[in-house]
Amino acid sequence: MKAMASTPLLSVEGLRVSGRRDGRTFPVIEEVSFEIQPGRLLALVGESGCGKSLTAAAILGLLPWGFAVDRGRIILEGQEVLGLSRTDWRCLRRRLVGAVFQNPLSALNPSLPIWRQVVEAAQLSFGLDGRAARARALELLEIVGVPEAESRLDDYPHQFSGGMRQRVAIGLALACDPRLLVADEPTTSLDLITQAEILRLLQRLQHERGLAILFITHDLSLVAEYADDVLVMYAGRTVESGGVRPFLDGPLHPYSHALLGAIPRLEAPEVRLTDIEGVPPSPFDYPPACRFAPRCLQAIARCRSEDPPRVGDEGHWAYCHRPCGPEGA
Amino acid sequence: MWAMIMRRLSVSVISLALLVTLVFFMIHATPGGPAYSILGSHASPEAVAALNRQMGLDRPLLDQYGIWWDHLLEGRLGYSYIQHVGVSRLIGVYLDRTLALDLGALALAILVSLVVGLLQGYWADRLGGRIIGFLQIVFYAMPVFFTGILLIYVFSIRLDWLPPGGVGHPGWVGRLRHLTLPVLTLALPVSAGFSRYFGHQAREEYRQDYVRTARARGLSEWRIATRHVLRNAVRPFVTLVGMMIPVLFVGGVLTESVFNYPGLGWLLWRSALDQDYPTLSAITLLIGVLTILGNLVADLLNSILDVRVRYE
Ligand SMILES: Nc1ncnc2c1ncn2[C@@H]1O[C@H](COP(=O)(O)OP(=O)(O)OP(=O)(O)O)[C@@H](O)[C@H]1O
Ligand code: SF4
Ligand SMILES: [Mg+2]
Repeated sequence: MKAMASTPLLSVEGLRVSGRRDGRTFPVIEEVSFEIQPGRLLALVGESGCGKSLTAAAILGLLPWGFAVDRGRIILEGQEVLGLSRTDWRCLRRRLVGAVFQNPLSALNPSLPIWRQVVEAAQLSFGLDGRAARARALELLEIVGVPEAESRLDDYPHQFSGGMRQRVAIGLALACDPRLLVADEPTTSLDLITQAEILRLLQRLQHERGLAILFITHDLSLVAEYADDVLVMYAGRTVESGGVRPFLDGPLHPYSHALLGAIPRLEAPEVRLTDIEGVPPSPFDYPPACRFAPRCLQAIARCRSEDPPRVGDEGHWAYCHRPCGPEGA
Repeated sequence: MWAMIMRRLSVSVISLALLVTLVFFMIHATPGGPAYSILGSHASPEAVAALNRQMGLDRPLLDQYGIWWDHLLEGRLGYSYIQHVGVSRLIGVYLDRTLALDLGALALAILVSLVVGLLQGYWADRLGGRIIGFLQIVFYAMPVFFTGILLIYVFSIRLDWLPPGGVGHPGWVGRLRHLTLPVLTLALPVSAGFSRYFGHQAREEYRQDYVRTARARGLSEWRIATRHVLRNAVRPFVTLVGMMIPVLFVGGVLTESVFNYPGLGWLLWRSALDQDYPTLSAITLLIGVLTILGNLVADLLNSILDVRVRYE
């Protein structure tokens, strides 16, 4: 690994994604900024509906119909991608960015043998012929740890177990040797043992190939174990960001604090982030100023009238009027 | 796989036998019977009895049924007393034209519905999808004679581009020009029906995660549509096309009469009016056989396309 990875692989600056409803456009995520260095795993956490998947979709060019990036920048390997034509961006993504999603059971086309799906993107990017494509498919299946890969090239997705399918799906994502992998809850639907295997696979790819990973999860216990950096989102905004150690040792934002408080101390890994009082607001009626104020135990009058300032330093920051101290507030 | 094909083949054979039996009893249950239609309804009972004896119609029903089978298996379809020609020859002449019309319309309808259906699936809840959905209902509900007359009015009478009916002189250009309007007329409602069904399939496929995976891998929408969505959406569609073949024939009968196009449908209609039973039963049989074969081919195609059937 390069020790001084100074230029980020991906940097997102002031991203805003708006949706339309009843003829009105309204921002669903706003002011989202973060960077990922090569070889690092950034965990994006937050409650359901806070905009994690939408952030990932914006990076992958997969925003649902009616949603669009209308502010901010996405810079991939030094290149501003939002200004590119659709086709140029698609081809750039095809080479540099891979993606894995939650449900491996339906992520593969049921009627194509897997080797064709695994190398499809590589064939398009590098124009591999039949023999080279098959060899590449075998190589990819071996990288992601499909046992007896050679004999499984011509199998169809339904012939694989859920965990194996997720490995194959990761193989698909790696076809063009991407620099960035976006993984949106890739292990949520898997059993614990398989989950750990898949995570170790991701970690190996990260370390061996310097792959940068944007890892979206509900599960803070995974963050402690696998993440290098953490980004916390709440109601469409990033509220806290930092290295995993400082974050776990002393979260600055009361929301992060509450999230961490919700991890059971005993070994019960599957955690739903619903232990905080109240529900997150919907994009149609985000509260003014600090969006967490209605649920925050530390809220003061200023929290409802003034946008919270950024506190902390470059390595670990949060937006809050009354950040938690080192021991928690 | 082979067991499946054998099973499917035996179903087809049984259907064929049932069809033959049904047509036999249908003809023999009609009041009056063939003799009256040949001799006229005022014929004397003696003349009718003589003719019945001559045609073997006085023998026990079961004997006649056996003879019916014998003749069919030998490929003898009988003699049309109305047209004074063997039914096989008669059908041979008309079948060509009907196949040209029906298969032309079928091919056009399949092509149109694949394109329209993919677009509809891709646009799903957007305006484009809704407009397509609306047009499908309009065209599906439009009766063939109405569309036919409308097309004749516009393209033959007003614009004078295409002939309003008939088959034209031998030669490609003439035949094609005479075929264009009937094919369009017949293909329109069929395309509407096919594309609605296929569009629904395509829409379901577009919702699947593998489409998102394909997009995330940077595949173009064209490639996603043609290599991924089409492949999965087309399977049930093949079955539908097989099932719709009889409907196509019925539409063909109407179209032929609107355009005064002398095909099987036209012949069927004539022979029903003339009570020309041998011709009537032969055409009914033929349409039935084509339907059964169409379904068989669709099912077999489907099982080749559907890998999961093979592994079951
Ligand atoms: N296709 C869509 N149509 C309409 N609204 C959507 C769509 N996708 C997301 N949203 C809205 O955008 C907001 C953010 O959704 P997003 O999927 O990014 O949340 P998330 O953080 O990934 O949640 P989860 O943890 O449940 O996956 C939500 O309020 C959701 O209702
Ligand atoms: S700004 Fe105020 S309301 Fe918001 S999190 Fe901080 S203390 Fe709580
Ligand atoms: Mg999500």
